[in-house]
Amino acid sequence: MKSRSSGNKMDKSFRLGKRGGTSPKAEDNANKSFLKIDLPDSVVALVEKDLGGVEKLKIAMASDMLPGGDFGEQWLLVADERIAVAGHVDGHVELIHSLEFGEKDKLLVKPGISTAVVDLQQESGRHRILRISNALQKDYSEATRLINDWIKKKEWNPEIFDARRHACSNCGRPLSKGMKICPLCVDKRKMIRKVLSFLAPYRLLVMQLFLLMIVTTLVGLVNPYIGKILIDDVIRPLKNMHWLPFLAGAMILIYAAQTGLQMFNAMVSSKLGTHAIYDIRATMFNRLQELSLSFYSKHEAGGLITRVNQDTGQLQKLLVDFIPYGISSIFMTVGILVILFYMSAFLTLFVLVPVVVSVIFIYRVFPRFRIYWQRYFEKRSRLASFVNDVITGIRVVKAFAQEDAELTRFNEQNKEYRDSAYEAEIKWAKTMPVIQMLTMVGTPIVWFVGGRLIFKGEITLGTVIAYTGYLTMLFRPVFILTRLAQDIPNTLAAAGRVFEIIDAEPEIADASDAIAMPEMEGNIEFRNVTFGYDMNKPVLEDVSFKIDANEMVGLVGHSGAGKSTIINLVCRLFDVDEGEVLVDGVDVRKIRYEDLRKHIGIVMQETFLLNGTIAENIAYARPEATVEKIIDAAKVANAHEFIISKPDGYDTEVKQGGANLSVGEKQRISIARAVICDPTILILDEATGSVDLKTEKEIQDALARLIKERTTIAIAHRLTTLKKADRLFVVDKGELKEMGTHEELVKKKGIYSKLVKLQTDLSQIRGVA
Amino acid sequence: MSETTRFLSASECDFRESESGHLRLTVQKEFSCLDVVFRRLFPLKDPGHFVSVGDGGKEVGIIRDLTEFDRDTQALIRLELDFYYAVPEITDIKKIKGEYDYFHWDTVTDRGPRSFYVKGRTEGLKIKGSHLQVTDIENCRYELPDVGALSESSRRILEAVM
Repeated sequence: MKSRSSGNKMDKSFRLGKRGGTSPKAEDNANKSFLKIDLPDSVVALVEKDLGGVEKLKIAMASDMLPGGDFGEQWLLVADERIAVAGHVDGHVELIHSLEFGEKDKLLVKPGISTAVVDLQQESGRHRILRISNALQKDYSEATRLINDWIKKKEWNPEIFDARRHACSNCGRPLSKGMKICPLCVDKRKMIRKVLSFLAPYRLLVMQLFLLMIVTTLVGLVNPYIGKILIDDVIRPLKNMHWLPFLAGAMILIYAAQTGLQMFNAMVSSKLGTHAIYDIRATMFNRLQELSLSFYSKHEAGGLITRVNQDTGQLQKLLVDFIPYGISSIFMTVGILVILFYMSAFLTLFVLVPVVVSVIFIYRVFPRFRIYWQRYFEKRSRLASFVNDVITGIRVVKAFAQEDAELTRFNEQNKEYRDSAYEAEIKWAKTMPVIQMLTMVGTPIVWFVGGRLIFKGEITLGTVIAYTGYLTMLFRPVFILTRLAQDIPNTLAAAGRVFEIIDAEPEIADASDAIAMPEMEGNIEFRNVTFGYDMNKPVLEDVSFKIDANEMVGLVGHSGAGKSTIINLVCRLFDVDEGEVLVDGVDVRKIRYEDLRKHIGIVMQETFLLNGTIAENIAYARPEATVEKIIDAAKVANAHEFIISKPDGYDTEVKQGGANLSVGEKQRISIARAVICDPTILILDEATGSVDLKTEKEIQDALARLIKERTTIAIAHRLTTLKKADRLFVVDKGELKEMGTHEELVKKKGIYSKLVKLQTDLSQIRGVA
Repeated sequence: MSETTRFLSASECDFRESESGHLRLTVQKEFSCLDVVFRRLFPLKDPGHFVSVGDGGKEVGIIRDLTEFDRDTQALIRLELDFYYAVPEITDIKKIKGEYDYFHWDTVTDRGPRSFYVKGRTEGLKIKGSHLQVTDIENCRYELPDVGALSESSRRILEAVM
């Protein structure tokens, strides 16, 4: 293998390449670095011979599949005006394809379920270049963009290669969607330090806890020793009877002190853990609010909810249970071992044998247990979810007479649940006695070895009895420490996920030179805007338009044409890839985010109301709004009448995102929410999308009042709802195809007039129906 | 049964590879389209039947049974389907090792040895009866058509995580 870092632009090219699921042959190379490709000498020789030398190479990438679909390697090589593929033929590496490309040619990645093919589309026909697994699809999509630019414009911009491949930069292991840190490569100490940094505000409590633990441990070690004195100095020699009440009293006092200390300990550690986890959760939620929508588009909502709830729960376990119990167990183990060695080093060596065996047994057996119990919990939650589904949808079940079928399904799942519970219980029943036996086997060893030492007069009976007491005490902290050691990887993984959010930087943030814009006129301009949620697939391409202040513009087009994307860019929920979005002549990236958002009001099709009263929902963005303003807003939104008809009026609680309100009612509350903001720019995204005609009329009236003296951008599928628009923009496949008034566009007989005709026909059909 | 579903019969269809390398479908006296795409309606339950034929994102018809067509046509269609649906079948499991959030699977498939990472213990697994579908964290899919047909050692390894 040669390191290929010679050419000036080569470094970037050679960083494309192998990673992901691997065949063992490629694994050595892949483990070294998934990102850097080392071309085999045989391929380098081919490049030198047939492609004009390595310095001519623009790109060299390895594939992970052969054309027939088997796993294997081929190499895509792009040099000057030629695309080639090298691969093994009869044990030799040869050029399998070598095609010259012209300006009109295009390289395409066609995805499948698990694999993808790379084709070169030429005038003469389509050529299948190579085959890859999904693991390499993103890299190849990015690379084809780069190559197509090269083919078309002869521009070579490796810096546009957005290396968003998802692999750990350290070990090359693939990362799942939304993850940046490989849990295996995470700096464990740093991670623990980060978690512990949340304890800093509670230093006093931490010190209290440490002190308590030391005292509790010391107190806990006293009683067996009193037992030794009792036997050796009172009972065996049958003297000092007057010591008995003192020794017994001391024992009681120590037990009482131990109980008290343990209670205090638990209180302090709970306070510390719950307070610290409160801070972690608050920091995390705060960061989630700050993060841009692009972050949310890369992370699934379910995963983020899990991080906020379960992962922080795991950290809570670390702070409330692991650290206090772990530290006290360490103190206790060390304390007991010191005493045991002090009393008899020889005997201690014997009794450590069953302790070590127990540790190994627990360490090996418990992870298996976890799987049985996890399986049991999974089956239980599956059954619960099934019962929930059937009971919630019982009307459907009965209407279609599916009771028997549902009963059969229930029985299947119930059986799985029963079997998983039985399996877990049986394994538990078989294992726990073994652990108990191992913990007990130390006692006969103490009696056997200790007994012989008593006979030899080397130790006393009291020592042996105290020894057995300490030995019994030793198993608990050892057991706890072993379990903690097993749980640490899970906890660190949870900590990694939590801190990935806490440490994430919002992509959309105020620029250092962002300007304040307390007043806004509402002029909007798109200047050569190109944008895609995925860099490979632009949703908008080179879009330019101007909207004057107080103008109403309707956006028209098929689903997926790019209408909502225009709105997202005006609101700066995402930043453009190329070009500029200007408000009052200033690039939105240069306007203070808070000011921009303050001047924009949105009414969406999918209205989402939050838990709280109707009044609180109307005043969501202006919590300081007076009652009068709330009522005014509701009246403008045609919401007042239905609100007062409810028994609790404006105090009506909105439940589960508005489940207790009709679609039209929710829509009108969301209009009132926008009214109260008094925005300069108003966005209506399918605001009357899913309501009946009467409600639509009421909402239309409300909107007509709302849009007065505001710049309005409205999206609607029903074209009649846009008849009041000053101008209409027709968006098609990411481009602005037509622009003008309704009449102008109808006359033009383009896309818009077709859409109008289609809707007229449809409404006639509905009319007939 | 349906007035809107167009079922394509072998006698009316002519599939052939065009000079440009695309697959062309000609339905006699009706239409001809270049670069048709095929999608199985029941890729898991019944991959040999009910294949949708599309042209530019629009369905032009459904093939009820692939075996109605002559061998050459079947081969052409199956080749296209194979590119889209190719999913390696796991034939042997050598090791499944949990590493934090990940489970590292070391397997042998019908397309060669393959190791990959699955998120969580069961997050990427979908089981129906004895059929198991595994999706790794890079969205590559693997099938295990019959868990019971695995070797004893593979089954034991699998059972330890499932």
